[in-house]
Amino acid sequence: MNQSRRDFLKLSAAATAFAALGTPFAWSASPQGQQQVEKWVKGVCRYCGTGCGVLVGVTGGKAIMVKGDPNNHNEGLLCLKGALLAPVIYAPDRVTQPMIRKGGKKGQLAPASWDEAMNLVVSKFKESIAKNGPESVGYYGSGQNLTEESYLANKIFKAGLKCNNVDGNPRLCMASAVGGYTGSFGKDEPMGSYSDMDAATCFFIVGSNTSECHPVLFKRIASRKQKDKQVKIIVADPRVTNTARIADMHLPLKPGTDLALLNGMAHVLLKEELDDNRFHSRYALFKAMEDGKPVDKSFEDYRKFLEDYSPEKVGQITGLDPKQIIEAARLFANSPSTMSLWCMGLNQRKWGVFANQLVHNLHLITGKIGKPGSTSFSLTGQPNACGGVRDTGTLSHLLPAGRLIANPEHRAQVEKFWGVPEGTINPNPGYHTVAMFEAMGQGKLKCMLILCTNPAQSMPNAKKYTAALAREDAFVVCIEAFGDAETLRYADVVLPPAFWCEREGVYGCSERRYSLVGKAVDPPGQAKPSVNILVDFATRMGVDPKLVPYKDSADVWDEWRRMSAGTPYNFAGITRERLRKESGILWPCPTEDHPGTKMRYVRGEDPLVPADHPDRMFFYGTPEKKAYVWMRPHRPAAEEPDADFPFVLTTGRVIDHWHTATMTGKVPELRNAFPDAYVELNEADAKKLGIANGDTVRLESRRGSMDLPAKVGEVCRPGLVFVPFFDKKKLINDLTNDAVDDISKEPEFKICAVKVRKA
Amino acid sequence: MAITGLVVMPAAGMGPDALRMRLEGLEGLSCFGGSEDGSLVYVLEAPASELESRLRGISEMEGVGVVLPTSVNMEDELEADGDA
Repeated sequence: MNQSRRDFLKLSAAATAFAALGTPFAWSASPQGQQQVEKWVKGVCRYCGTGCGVLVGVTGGKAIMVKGDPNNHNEGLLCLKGALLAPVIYAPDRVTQPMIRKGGKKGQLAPASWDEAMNLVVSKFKESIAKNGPESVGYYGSGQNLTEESYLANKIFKAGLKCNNVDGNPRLCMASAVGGYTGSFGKDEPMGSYSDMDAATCFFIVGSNTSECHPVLFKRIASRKQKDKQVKIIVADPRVTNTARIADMHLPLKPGTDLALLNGMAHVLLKEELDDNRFHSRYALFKAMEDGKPVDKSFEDYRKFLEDYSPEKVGQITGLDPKQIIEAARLFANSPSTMSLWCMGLNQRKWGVFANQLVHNLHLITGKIGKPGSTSFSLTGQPNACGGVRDTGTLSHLLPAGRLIANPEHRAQVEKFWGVPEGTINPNPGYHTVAMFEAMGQGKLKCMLILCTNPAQSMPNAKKYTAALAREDAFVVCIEAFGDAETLRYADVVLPPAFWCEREGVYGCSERRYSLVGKAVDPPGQAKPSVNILVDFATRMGVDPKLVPYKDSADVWDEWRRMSAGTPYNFAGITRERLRKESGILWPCPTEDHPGTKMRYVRGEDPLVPADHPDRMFFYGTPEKKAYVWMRPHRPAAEEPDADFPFVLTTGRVIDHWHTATMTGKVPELRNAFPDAYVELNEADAKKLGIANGDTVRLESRRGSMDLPAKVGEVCRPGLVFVPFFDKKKLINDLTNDAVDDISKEPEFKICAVKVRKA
Repeated sequence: MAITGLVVMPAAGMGPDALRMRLEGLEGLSCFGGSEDGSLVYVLEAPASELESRLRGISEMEGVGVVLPTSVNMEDELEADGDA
């Protein structure tokens, strides 16, 4: 094939566009080269929580390409990032051997043997526990670890070391969704599935830029709208994102006013009698918090509570036209089926749990739940935050399968299953993420094992917490695949893990679907699976060998699968053999012949609802077996704009990068598309401030300042600026606020007050 | 000069041929292929500074449903090759 370089680049651009679209070429105006693949290995994409099935093409022991799995939920579709995963495996900065920092925190990392590195790690952890107790050490994990890795780390720390300082980056992204689901339904995780997108006639998307953060799901929504003209999309977002551009109704509300909007919509629903009285009187209870305790309320109490949220008043709070609020509520209620979708815009908030519960309220009072296309569905940001961390209870207040540290019965159940003496598990929850890094900064937490995450870039108010990591008395161990991760600057020991398809294990995505990541290639150098690293760590720490009797991740999976039996998270039927044969199975799945569950709490769908139950729905997660409609008032953000800091800064992703770009930054097509962060601001604001496109702009919050190039346009509403957080050269989290949600302890990344001026 | 992959999805009721005809003749646009659901993939050659206004222009055309810029900007590579 005779092609000029320009032709080649055009073909590359077209091919990646198809990849972003998630659709294979049906026809092409240009010849497309085909690479020879010896075998295809089934797996799951390494990036977002959509959990797209992939096939990794291997030739000569090397992964040469990735394509979508036609048998998984994504039906062969992949976004640009997923399609370009193969080169990430061979990034030149892969960590391939253990390293130890010599000469204190300002010294250099030097190669070491596994024995040298592990002996140092264990000696430091043992010394700290002996001197200061088990609460002086901690584990900080990730929604990117395999389920087996998270489950194992949780078990080693909570049962083996008697330490509940087990948390991870899902605290930064999904904790408010957990609080929302558990608060409203008694158990975590969505009740619906992606298949609801094919049946919904109304999508209510709030606080989610689905087009850039979950492109394959956005494609599914866009296709649904294309096929059926009756389908309506409502997007509530202060930015005119690509998601908002396909909306029938865009609600560009002021940042931090979504609680008012959601209560305002509920007000309209009741005032216009668009609620489903038969549904909520049968299946819901009304609740409020009084003096710090939940109390029962009546429907009339709820109606009175909502009187404060008239469209006119909510219009003043949100900056929206009251007519839009009324119309949004009518669309929500009058559509045959309505699906709500949200992500970090609701979760990363001081009042994130409240916001989640107010979305659930809309579904519970209209009865738009538990039917195809009617569900409230939280989107997840990482590939295994749901299955790996939420389900396994790898957070400081949880135990596996929805159990709580603070509940003595739950502790006893787990201790019995793990075969440890009664009273082994500490009854007090450990440090949540922000508290864990604060404790390190105060010298209380001496040793931290960080597995597959990059807190030096991803923590809010990051300078405060990097200072903690930089303390000479803070011993930091990173199990990290990529040498340019910002956190490695503070690591005392770095251990090389097998990455993604270099080992086998399970991912669980947003829709409760567990899929197997197959091993396609060998890890480089001395890198090895994190399960093996954790077992080695536990063994050297002197943990009872009976607690870690595993030769590989399949053994860990089998134990965790058996542990789920009889719980509301029952997936005893999802065996390793089934995962190898099938392309993902949704729990609950109690038996090996059960097909999985698309709708929880529904008779005839959810195996945990008795087949002869008299009601169509059964909310078995709560003591009363009913869902809760919570009265949650509108509250301001932790840091509202004022005369000194008059703008709101919000942060997020762009389509070409994922998280801190330690992976996407290695792919030329992605890096070239978005090499640097920028600040996006409204053109009216820019004009007032004398800022033109490309000018250097100084942002300043109460925590730090930063210069960024301006991107002027109509995307942000006036008074709002947006900065993506992928760029380690511009650590925007130095400016963000570390105030946390009172319930979920998730930080309010999405809102802080800043000054804006031309630099 | 930037080279950017661009996905154009037809509005409801419009077939891919009609969509392609509508977009034919736009300066700097070349169609590279189509997908089973009727979407078309174009490669847009335009200075990066003009890209947003071009995309907005296309998205506002009658019969065009969704425009998804995929941000595959090959400008740096072209410049490195002296081919820009």
